[in-house]
Amino acid sequence: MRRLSCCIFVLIVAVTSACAPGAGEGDGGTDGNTVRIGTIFPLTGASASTGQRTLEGVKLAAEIVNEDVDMDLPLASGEGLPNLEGARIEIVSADHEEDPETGASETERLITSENVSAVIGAYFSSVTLTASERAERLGVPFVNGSSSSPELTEGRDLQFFWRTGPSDRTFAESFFDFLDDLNAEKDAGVQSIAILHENTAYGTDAAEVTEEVANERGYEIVSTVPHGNGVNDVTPEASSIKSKNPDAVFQASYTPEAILFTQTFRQLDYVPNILAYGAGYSDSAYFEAVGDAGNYTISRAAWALDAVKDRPAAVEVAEMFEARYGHPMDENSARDFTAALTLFQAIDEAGSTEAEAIQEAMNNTDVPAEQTIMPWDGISFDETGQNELARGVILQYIDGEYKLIWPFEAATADVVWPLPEFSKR
Amino acid sequence: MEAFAQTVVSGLLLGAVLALIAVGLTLIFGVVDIVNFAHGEFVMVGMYVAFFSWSLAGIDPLLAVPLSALAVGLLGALAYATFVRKAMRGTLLSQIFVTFGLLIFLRGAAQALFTSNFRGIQGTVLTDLGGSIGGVAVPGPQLAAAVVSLLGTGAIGLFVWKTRAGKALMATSQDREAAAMLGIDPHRMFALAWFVGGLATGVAAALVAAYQPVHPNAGIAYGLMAFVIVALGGFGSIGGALIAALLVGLIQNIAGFYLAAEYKELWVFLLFLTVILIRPQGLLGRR
Amino acid sequence: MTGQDGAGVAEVARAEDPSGVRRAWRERRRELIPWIVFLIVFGLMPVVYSAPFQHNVAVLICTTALMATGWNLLGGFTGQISLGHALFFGIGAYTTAIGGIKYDLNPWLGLLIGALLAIVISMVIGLPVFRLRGHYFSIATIAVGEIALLVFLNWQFVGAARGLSIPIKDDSLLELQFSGQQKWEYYYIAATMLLLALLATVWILRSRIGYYLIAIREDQDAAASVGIPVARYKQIALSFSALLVGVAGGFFAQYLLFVDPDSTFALTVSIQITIAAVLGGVRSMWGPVIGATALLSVTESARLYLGGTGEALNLVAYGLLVMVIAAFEPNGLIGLGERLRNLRRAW
Repeated sequence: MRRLSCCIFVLIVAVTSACAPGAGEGDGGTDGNTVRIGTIFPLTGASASTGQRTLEGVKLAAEIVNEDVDMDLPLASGEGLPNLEGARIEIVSADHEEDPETGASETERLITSENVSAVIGAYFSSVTLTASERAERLGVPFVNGSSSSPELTEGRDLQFFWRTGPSDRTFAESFFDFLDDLNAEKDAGVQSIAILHENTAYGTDAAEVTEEVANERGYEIVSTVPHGNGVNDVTPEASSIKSKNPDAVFQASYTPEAILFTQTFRQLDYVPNILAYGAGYSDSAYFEAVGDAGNYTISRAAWALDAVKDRPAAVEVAEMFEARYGHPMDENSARDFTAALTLFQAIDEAGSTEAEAIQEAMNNTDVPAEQTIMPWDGISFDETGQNELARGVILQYIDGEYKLIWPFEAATADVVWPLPEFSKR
Repeated sequence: MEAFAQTVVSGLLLGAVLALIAVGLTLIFGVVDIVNFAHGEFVMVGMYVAFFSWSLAGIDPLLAVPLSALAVGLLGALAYATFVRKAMRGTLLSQIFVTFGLLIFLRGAAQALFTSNFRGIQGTVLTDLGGSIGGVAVPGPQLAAAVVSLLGTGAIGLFVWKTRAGKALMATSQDREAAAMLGIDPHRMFALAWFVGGLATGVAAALVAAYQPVHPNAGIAYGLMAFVIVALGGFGSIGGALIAALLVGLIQNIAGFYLAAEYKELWVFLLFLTVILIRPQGLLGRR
Repeated sequence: MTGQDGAGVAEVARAEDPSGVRRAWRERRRELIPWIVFLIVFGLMPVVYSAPFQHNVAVLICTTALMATGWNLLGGFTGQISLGHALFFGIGAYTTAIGGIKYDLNPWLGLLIGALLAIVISMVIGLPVFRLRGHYFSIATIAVGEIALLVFLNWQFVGAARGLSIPIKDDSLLELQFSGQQKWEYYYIAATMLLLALLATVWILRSRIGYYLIAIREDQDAAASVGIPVARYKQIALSFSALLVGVAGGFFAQYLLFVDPDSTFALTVSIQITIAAVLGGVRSMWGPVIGATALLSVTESARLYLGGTGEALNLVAYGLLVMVIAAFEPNGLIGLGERLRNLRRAW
């Protein structure tokens, strides 16, 4: 029996070492004439559908670089990266299963075994935290498009981390600017607010900055309600909000709970004026699942087709996306599309896949607004790696799409406030 | 006062739905003496059946109840016939692990087949059923789920205590050998228990799908709560499961509303631990 | 059969055998073989698996094997199936992390204190929970684990849902931090801990405690009736397993330099530990080691080839594997190997 266990042992090690790919050979990320880029997103688990959408954004950016596309975007015309002799982008995708440890180790595998030149990810703020630290240790650039936790660029001193999208601090400020304007111009009388957030890194951070900014601006917080994820009932949480009846409810929740809360509020016959921190509310799956009840949802966003309709390239990208993947481009796809395209531009600018060269090019990034698909002032990073030109806009879901309602001067639709009853949506 | 009434009503409605799911689980345990850790995934499968009946054939979830029940019932019987029956010859450990494997398998299969997208059923007759009485909201889908759930629990009780097959089932659960001597094939009874347990779960699943997002991980929360309810009520006790489920629903809602919402499950687990430490066999379980 | 009887029978058999001494020596030699194989396999693992991500898998194999070995003394040998061991993992991980962050505690000391804390908590829990048997015990351990998860998710002092990052320091054995791509240092520290755990396990199993534990598993009432203090010995098994899992948790925090409730206290962590043990075979002390090696090699390879697609085919395969093992080979891979050998012999 003991000898036997030895045999089994040796057998397992032999078999698995035979089927595992060999040690990292080769140098840098160029193999022939391709630049390998890693992605790390949640492809299994509760947020897998969002993970797929972010991955699709990156893939589309790669396709636009690789193919000769007639579009007014950097790197679109001509095949590949011109400064690297037309090198093509190859995406190597990995799954972090919503787990910080898996995210870190998969990032490491991408870098050391798949020889990627840079990594894009990870949607979950908690995973972006560990994965980017691992990349930092290995001295490889990590670019983030869709994690909004302020902590990622506040108080960390990473040399190889950049975030193209706004942080929730920017978003919180946009929200309160919006409320100030709403009170001033529409006489909305918003004074008391409640915060409803999911109990994760993303949710708690969003709740914290909301509280900070609310206090600065003199709004009164009447209630802060955290909720678990993967739950089957949120009635007490929703009832608790209902009993306080705040003028506005800030919500930071991923898709399943966003759906559940909408259903529960409808059942309780209560119409909260929800101001959503994206996430679940920017997932097109949310609107497919709740139908008309999702109408008039207000969300902060880093992107909406409606906010960039005046840019032909943005419209073409969105059309191309829908044709490719069968569902409309949503905010998360657009954010990671932009993260990817910014990275590709930096690599092209560097003319090399060396980490230091990319680092320098990223730090010197200066993309004007009209060369992006985002409603921002452009892309340029401060010393923490945060894109200081990223802006939040505020959208309302009207007639089956998100319309820009704030800033008021750029709005394409009038804000509907307070939100109408569910039966009238 | 209105708020309190609301928490009680919501709690009872939630409890009633949990009851039917837990009754399915406790029935399997009582007869077969095995805990189905994949029970939450049974709920998830039923939810998908209801969703696709609605999205492909336009069948209202209320009418999809039999389809979902049958599908989950057959799934249960199939799981028993293929793997569980074999694992029962082994130790407690293999019995636990066979259903763990089933849990992982079903979750993976759901994602592989249906993708990880969140889906939801809209505009059912159930949505319009709801109303409010004196400011207390009584949502239609949950009300229907609660009514059907109580009827279902009653029906299972009747089946077990009044029909021939049910009596044979109970005989097997009480003394396998003695029942076998009387000509009751235990394996047929076990398969029947898995089937009936699946039926009950499938009924609940179709109703739940009317107001909850449907996705591969939709069963997680139900699975965990169902084990706790079954253990709290006493393994194998249908009445115990019903009482425990209502209790769990009430605690979640009252504690979630009046105390901190983030700890609402904590009170359930604490109550559960307290009860089984005083009465290890659960509220209504037999030793 | 009680442990005492078993021990007695073996002694009698040895005394009656005229060539007892030689036979005992032969037995001893045979018992050494798995140790030698273990040393060779685990000594060379990072040489064979040389890529950095494979080093990572090797480290995970060691920590998982360490935890599964601990779990198995309670689950496999004593027959008390705990599904809440993530609790001890989390306690170990958080103690080391908080010690390092807030009190500037050396990580090795953190590891030690974490392990002691895990033992203390195991005693607090053991007292009531061991009154339960079978499924009740298992579900109660799940409930205890979930309570710990909820508490840590909301406890601001320990970073709540956000978790804690351990500050990066210069490489040193004393600070238990190494930044190289290759994880030789982490690996050999983990492998050494595993070796020590196995030596401790074999010592326990050889001693009176081991016989008592097996007696409790076989028939608790009979064991009690021949005077074995059942509760105390169950507690010893639980404390030992809490110790090993707690150490693994502390090491893991230091390895990842990050802890958060969802990746330490979650039910999935408890299940991962048990599946490793069950896969290898719970009747042997080598089962958990073999199980952890097989489980992580297979799941990490599966993730490599199937994971990036997001089609969850790796989960389908994993689930099937667990079902097949549970249904057809309750003694795990070791049982499977035995069966194959018997087959060959019969042939």
